[in-house]
Formats: sequence, structure tokens, C-alpha cells
Amino acid sequence: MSMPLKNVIISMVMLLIGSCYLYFSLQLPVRSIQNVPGPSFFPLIIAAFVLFLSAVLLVKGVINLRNELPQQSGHAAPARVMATLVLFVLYLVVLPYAGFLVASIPFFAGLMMLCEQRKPLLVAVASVMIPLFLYVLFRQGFNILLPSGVWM
Amino acid sequence: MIQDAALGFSQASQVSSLIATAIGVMIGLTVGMIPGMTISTGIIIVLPLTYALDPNISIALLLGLYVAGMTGGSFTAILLNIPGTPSASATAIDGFPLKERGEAGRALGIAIVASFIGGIVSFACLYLIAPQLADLALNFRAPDLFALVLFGLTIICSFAAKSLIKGLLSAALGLMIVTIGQDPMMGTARFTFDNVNLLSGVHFLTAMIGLFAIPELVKSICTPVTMVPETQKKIGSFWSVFPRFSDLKRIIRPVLIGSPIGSFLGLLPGAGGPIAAFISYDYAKKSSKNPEGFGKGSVEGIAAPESANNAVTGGALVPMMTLGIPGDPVTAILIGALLVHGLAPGPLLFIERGDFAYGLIFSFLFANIFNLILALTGVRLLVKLLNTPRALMMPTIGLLCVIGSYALRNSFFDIYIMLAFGIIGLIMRWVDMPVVPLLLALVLGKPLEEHLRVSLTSSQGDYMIFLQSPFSVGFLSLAVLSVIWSLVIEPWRDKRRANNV
Repeated sequence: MSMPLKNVIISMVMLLIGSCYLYFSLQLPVRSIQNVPGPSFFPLIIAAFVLFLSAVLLVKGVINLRNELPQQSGHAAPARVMATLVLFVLYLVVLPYAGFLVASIPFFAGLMMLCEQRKPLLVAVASVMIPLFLYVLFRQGFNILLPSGVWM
Repeated sequence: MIQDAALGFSQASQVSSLIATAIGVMIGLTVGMIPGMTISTGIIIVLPLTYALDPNISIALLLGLYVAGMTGGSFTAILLNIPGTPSASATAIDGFPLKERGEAGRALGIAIVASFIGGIVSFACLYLIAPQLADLALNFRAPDLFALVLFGLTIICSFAAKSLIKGLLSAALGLMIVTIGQDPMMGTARFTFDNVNLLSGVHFLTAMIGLFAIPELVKSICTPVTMVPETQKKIGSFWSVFPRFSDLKRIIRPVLIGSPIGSFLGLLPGAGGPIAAFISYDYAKKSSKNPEGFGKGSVEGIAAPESANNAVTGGALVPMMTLGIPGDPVTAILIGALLVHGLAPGPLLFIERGDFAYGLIFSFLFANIFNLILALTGVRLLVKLLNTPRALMMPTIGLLCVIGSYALRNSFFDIYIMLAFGIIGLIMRWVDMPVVPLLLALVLGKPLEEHLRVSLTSSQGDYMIFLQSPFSVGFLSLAVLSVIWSLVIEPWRDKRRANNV
């Protein structure tokens, strides 16, 4: 995807966010005391700023859209990015139920496999030992609370 | 003041603080050395530890990491021609050719010693300037502070080199996020949508972990692994790293150029290590008796940028400590780390917790000393860490991100927020929108709103209050100059340089 097209997309997203932000800012009390800026004062300035900048970016993006050729994206493979994020989301879903230690084992193993680690023994040992080490270090060593689950 | 300095020295020289400094240095050297890993990520890794530690020990650990991260970046710049950190880019120009001549140990030794001298000069700068600036800053009132924070925010322009609009949008997004939670003056809930977790707002460190670590983690997972052949990392004997007397004599001049330049540019928000390194390199070359040797493995060409990029660290701590204004992402994170312990950087830090402020300054000194010792003696071992399997490192960082965001307030909600910011960070990278302005806006947004509203409340809405004090007029003028510099002069200079090439 070319950069001007990305700019058009992001400016439209920001216009939408800015409009929602403006709407909710207008719902806030404007001034509780005369001549004193209220809670909506600063958000309204930001909303105006966001809408103005997004509009400028949109116009620039549309103008450049015709002039530039599509570029090859140099960013990471989307499939793997998505797989990593899905893994994170699943981990965060399981975490409140299973707790840090149990939930971290499959999460760690999954990330290792995404890093192209193909040795099953290494994956198995590391995905148990490293979360266990971190658990002992933080929970027992530094007395830091770690996410605990409903199940355990 | 002397009493505070003595107390600070004793705190920084306690065994626990010294051990923390040494550990921070080891982690910093490692993190700085690994291409793609930034000092910010290194700080995120150790952040959960700092919650449980005493503030003096925490800051000693973080400063060790900050100082050593700068030096670590030069190792791969010299050995592989790949700068570990952007600040080490200039070091590669002469470091790599010297290594190619079979003198890798010599190049590393020069870089380490020059870094040390740069660090010591910036320590002197920090020790002498910070307390005076804090004293001066005590006279600032709300309009002056607003103008100062606004000036601090204009550094966003320097981080938005590719597209100013995107940089400003990124900052605006940060300011929007800052307004979530209770309004700082009246306590009105804003944008919380009846969610109690949002009442106290989005924690700056949670956002930072997501913005920096998650995109880096995803990027590392998705990039193919390339192992570095052992031959490329050959350094030589243990003693080859220790600089010869003749080399030490040769680096005096470039180090005397690089250290003050680095310290001065560190004081200016937004200038940063890479700029200091290249400017020092340029000056060292111009003032050298042997300028034609530059680019071909000159020891002076290594010493100048290395002393400058390490000198930046002490300089950058001055505005952070005395005014609460971060000059770069690392000092922004340090502010967050101090806030976790209830220590707000600013002029009052020297009044209310003078012992801690001086402890920080002396920890910085010890960090530089440990950096010299551990880098000189451990570089051969540290280089072996370059081949640590990413399949172990990245998932560990993933878990540390979760621990770091949860342990801040023992809240699952913060972990979700962290991931949300991770996704925002990924999208921002995808559209080439700089993340640093958002981060700086998260740090400076709240004081900006607070000082603006306090000023306008006291003046009954009269905006002329910002033009009544010489401080606020001065800061506003600096802010305007900073914007003009970034928008007009820098692009013009870049264009001229490109034309010359």
C-alpha cells in the first residue's frame, strides 16, 4: 500500500476519532465559574487541533495519491503479526482464569514457535522453566503481585 | 546543599545501590549491543523490578542501563558495522574500518574510554548546573511553567522529521489520552464512560510499555533470524581492549571537543545522542591535524562521537531533574519510573528530597565508572551474547511486558490497555507516524493543561498573563524559535547538504 493511501486512511480514522472526541468534549460542563476555564476547555482545544491536522493530512494524501506509485511495504509479514497479536489476546483472555504461571506456559511456547524454534524439547523446557523462573523471581524474590487466576 | 550532597553520595555508594548500578550496566551494555533493541526496551525489561526496590536502588539500576546502553551500541557498530543504537551510527564510520584492519580490540577500547570521559564531563555538568537551575526554577509561576512545558513540547518537531503533520497528530493523540480520567482541577470525570478503571486515567508507563515493547517484539518475531559468524566478532586478546598510552594522547583533543558538545546538546530537549555524535565527529575532523585519516579507521573519529553520545546522558538529566521536562524517550521513561515511587522530578525535588536528587547525580557518576570497568573487562564475554536465541529472548520480553503493566496497579485492566497501546504502536509504525511525540505528550500533557488553566483562572481568562513575566516571554520565544529551527532552518540545511553531496 502506498504512503499517500495510508495517509488518507489514517487521516480519516483520526477525523472520526477527533469528531467523537469533540462530541464527548461538548457534553462536559463548559464553565462552572465565570471566566474560568472548565473541564472541557483543554479537550476542545485538542479536538480542534486534531480535526485541523487530520483535514490537512487528508488533503495532502488525496493530492499525492495521484502522483505516487504504489510501494512495496517493508513491514513485517502480516500473517505473523496477526498470529502474535491473536496469541496475546488469547493469553489475556485466559490469564484472569488460569493465572500467570499456567497461562504463560502455552503463551511462551506459542511465541517460541512463532520465532521459528523447531526443537520440541527446547520449547517444552524453556516454556516451563522461564515463566517459572520469572514467577519465583518476582513473586517470591521481590514480593511483587502477579496476575492470579480464578482456577488457581 | 553540602549536607544533601553528602547524604546523596552515601546513598549512591551503598553496596545495594552499587550492585544495582553494576547490574544495570551489564543489562545496558547487552541491550545497547543488540541491533533493534533500544535503551527504552531495556528499561521496560527491568521496570517491574524497580517497583519493589527502594527508589535509590531503582534509579541506580536505570541510570546504569541508560549510560551503558549508549556504550553498548558502539560494540556492534565497530564489530559488524551495525549501530546497536542510533547514537552509535557515527562511531561505525571509523570503528568498522579499524576493526577491518584487525584492530577490533583497539577500536572498542578507544570507544569505551571516550564514553567514560564524556560521561564524567556530563556528570560535572549535571552536578554544577542542576542545583542552580532548580533554584532558578523555584521562581517560576504557573504562566512560566506553562510556557516552559510548551517549549518542551516543541521538541516534538525534531522527532517528526519525515512528516510534521503526523508528528503533531501523534502528539495530539497523546494529549487526548491524557485527558481521560479525572480533570486535574475540578475532579470531573472525563471520557471515562462510567468505567471506574479509567477514573485515574491511563498510566503513562502502561502506555509506554505497549507503545515501545510490543511493536519491537512483533517486529523481532517477524524478522528472519541472521546469525553472526564468530569470525566477525573476533576481538583479540584480553589486553587488546585496553588503550595504549599513545592512543590516549591522540584522543585528548576529540574528547575535549565531543564531551562539551554532547553535554550542551543533552541540555537541549530533542537534540539527542545521534546529533551530538555527528556534530562532534564533524568538529573533530575539522580540527584534526590528520583529517584525511577520518573514515579510514581513525581513533580520533571513534573518540569524538563516543564521548559526545555518552555526554548527552548527563546533559539530558538536567532538564529532567530540575524542570520535569524530558529531552528524549529514555528520560521520559525515567520520569515515569520516579513517579511510581511518588517522586516528581522538578525544582521541588532538590528542596524536598535533596538527598535523593544528589543520590541520583552520584549514581550517574558510579554508572560511568562501572561502565568503564565492566565494558573493558567484559566486552569479550558480552559479544557472545549477540547470538542469544531470539526464540528465548522475545517471549521473555513479552512476559515482562505483562508483569510490568500488571504490577503497576495490580490491575488486569492495565494489561489490556498495554496491549491496546501495542496495537496503536503497530498501526503508527505502519503509517510512519512517530511514536515519540505521543510519549512526550503523555508526560507533558497533564502539566500543560494544569498550568494553562491555573494561569487563566488567576487572570480571569486574560491571555496577556503569558506576556507579563520575563520567564514566560523567554520560554515562549524559545518555543517559537525551536519550531522555526525545526521547520525552516533544519530542512534548509539538509537540502543544502544534499545539494553539496
